[in-house]
Amino acid sequence: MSDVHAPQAGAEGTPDPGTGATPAPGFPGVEPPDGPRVVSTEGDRGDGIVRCERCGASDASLNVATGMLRCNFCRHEWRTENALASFDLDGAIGDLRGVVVGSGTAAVTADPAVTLKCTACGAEVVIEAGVQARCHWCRNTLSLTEQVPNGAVPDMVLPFSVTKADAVTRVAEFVGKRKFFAHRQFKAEFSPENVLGVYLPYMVVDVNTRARLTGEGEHQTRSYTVQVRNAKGETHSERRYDADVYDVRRTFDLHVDDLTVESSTERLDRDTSRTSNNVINTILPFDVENSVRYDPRYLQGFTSERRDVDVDGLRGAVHQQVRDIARWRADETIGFYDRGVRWDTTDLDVQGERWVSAYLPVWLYSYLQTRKDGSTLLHYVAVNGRTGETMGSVPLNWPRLLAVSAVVEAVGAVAAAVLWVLS
Amino acid sequence: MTGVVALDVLAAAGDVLASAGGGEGDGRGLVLLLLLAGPLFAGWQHLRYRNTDKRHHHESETRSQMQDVQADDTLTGRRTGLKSARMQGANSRKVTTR
Repeated sequence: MSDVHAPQAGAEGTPDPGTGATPAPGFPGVEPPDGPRVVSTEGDRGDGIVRCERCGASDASLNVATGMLRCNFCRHEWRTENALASFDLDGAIGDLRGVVVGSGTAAVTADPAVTLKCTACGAEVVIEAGVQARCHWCRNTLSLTEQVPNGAVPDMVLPFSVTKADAVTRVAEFVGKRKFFAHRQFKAEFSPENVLGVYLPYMVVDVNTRARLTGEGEHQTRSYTVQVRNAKGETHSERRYDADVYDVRRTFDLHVDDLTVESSTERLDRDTSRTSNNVINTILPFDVENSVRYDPRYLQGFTSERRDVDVDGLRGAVHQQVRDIARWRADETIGFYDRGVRWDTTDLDVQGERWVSAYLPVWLYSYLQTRKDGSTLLHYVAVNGRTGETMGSVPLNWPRLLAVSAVVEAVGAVAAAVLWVLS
Repeated sequence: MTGVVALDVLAAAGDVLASAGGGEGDGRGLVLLLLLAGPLFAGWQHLRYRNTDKRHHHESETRSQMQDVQADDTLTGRRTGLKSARMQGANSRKVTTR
């Protein structure tokens, strides 16, 4: 049983980032607090051509080796400023009151497709997916920089620092250790160089809350051996324990920093019978504090997924994760209860929360398995684009696994019989 | 589905080992484990390849600070002759979000 008191209205407020949101699967919606304070992360750039500050070319991209943007014409490199610091979104969590959101978290309401007017030749160019396109007339690169509420433009981006070659090696090593029972077709088609760099949408949340936990704990006072007689009249020794029982209460301020949650409906579905999104979830966390101001040129050469879940749709899931963190931290204070504690309630009194939308870098190797019943399952091997942490799902060759398991079972049964006879 | 079955089989094996507390129980627990060797092997390999049990450990991998901790504990009674070394229903390390 748990309770959440949402924070009260913030000081300022213009757009409501929560309107029209859908709760994340499996979590109840939580009443949206009124009037969040919106911090504009849009900057002064307009849509269209974003030029190199040295030569004026419109074509630049991330140099993964240095983490800097590089003009693809004159090779000039420059670094974008840190997002959280430049927008003052990294203040002390204990001082947080009400709801503060980056303007990139606005509710997703617009059509995904956006039409840009080329600022060089005047042609109209439609960007249907992603945030960049080439003008079909003058070949300039056009960037979607303004935060149209279609979920495509976040507050900040964390550039890749793991190179593709490194990701290929990690994927190959991961699968290489899992080949014996791997599905035949998967093995035949495995080609790690097909790994794809993807910026996935996340919300990064700071929470300032007061946590209150109540429950019952046991402290062992005595441990001893007793003789127990079974139905056949034979006796054997058994261990017994005595314990004092306590009502246990803990109350404390909890400051949660950079809690990171997926913000697309597809990635939030972690039912392992139909997806392997759980492996993408496993490679968290990222060093989000090193994220830079959103600039579409960081995305050139990579793909990106749009956010389609809003702040309100994620608030229930975030508060549930904060409750888990509260329990985990409370564990440090209950050492006296050596037999354990059963928490009955975990209540949060949320004083303030800060939401920022981000694109975070993931190398993905995917394989679509078609099963005998015609259903499909998309397997991923995911590499964290910053830390290199790797996790994956490899489809199984079930006939081979069952055959080997049958041999193991036969050996086990023989060993069990021998042990039974000897004892 | 198979992932859930694999987890259940491995959890059952854990229970068998946990229940094998005293001298006589050890032998019975080992025999039971040997009899379950095939399903246990299949479950282990399933988890090793598909990793259906893996997730981000937000509870321990998220930075957090705890301040102004207040404890208020009251002795309410005593339990004697308990068979388990662990409190029944203890959940302080159990995570609710999957």
